[in-house]
Amino acid sequence: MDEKYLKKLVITRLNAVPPDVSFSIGKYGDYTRNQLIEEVEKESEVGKAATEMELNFLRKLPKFAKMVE
Amino acid sequence: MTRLFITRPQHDKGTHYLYVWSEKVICSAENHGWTIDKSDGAKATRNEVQSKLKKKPANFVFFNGHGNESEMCGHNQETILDESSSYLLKDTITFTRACNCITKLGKSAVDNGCKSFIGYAGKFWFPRIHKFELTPLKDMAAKPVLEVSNQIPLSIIKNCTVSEAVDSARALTIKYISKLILSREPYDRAALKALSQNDDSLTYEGNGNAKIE
Repeated sequence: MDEKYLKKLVITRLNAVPPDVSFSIGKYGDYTRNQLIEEVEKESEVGKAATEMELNFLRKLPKFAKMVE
Repeated sequence: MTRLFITRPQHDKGTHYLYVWSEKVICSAENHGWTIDKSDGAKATRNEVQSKLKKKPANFVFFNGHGNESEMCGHNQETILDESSSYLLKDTITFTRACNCITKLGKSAVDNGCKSFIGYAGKFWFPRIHKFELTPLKDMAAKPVLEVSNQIPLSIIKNCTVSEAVDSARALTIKYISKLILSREPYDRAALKALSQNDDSLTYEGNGNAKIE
């Protein structure tokens, strides 16, 4: 998968979270959904952490699906 | 007398949530007859924390707040413990509900005699819904994530080994993920991501069979 596609995927998935949700990410502080999307677009440290979180979740999705079968 | 030492800085929204959600752990320890020693809010400073660890050695240390690979922080991000002071955790079981601390601080603490050090190798994430800022216990997005992390200290207080406490948190993660993954509630999507991420980075250094005697 190319990086452009991954970024789009991550942003689409973050957009599925309601806008009145923030994520607390330790010392980085608090980020609303939209701020997190901006960070992903900028490819900042926080954006990279958010991308990793999304991709990690997607990688584990087959395992989670088996859990509810 | 079994002693819990807990730090609960409260200088931002994230630490405020951890402060409030830690109350359940304090209540459980009290109900089990433990002595509780707290460094709360602005008192969670390097001087106070290190002085308390020296003067009143604890069996179980529970740090809440922000951290990095080699430091645990207190009020206003002041470093309260680092690799040079990790010897203060000698003979304790320690849990850091903070980012990354296990990587260097945990290893250093165990090298200096800490029985077992539980923590997160990566970022500790949790979601929160804005309208619950003043009532964190009602926040349905934060609840699964903070309940899972509370499971560690609650298990240690109930005399579980470190390994059992971590397994218990993982089992609760699976229980929540199995439930939330089928949910149509949009707020649950935020909790799912954080549960999955935190579960990956939860680990311990030292003796997995350690428990409070």
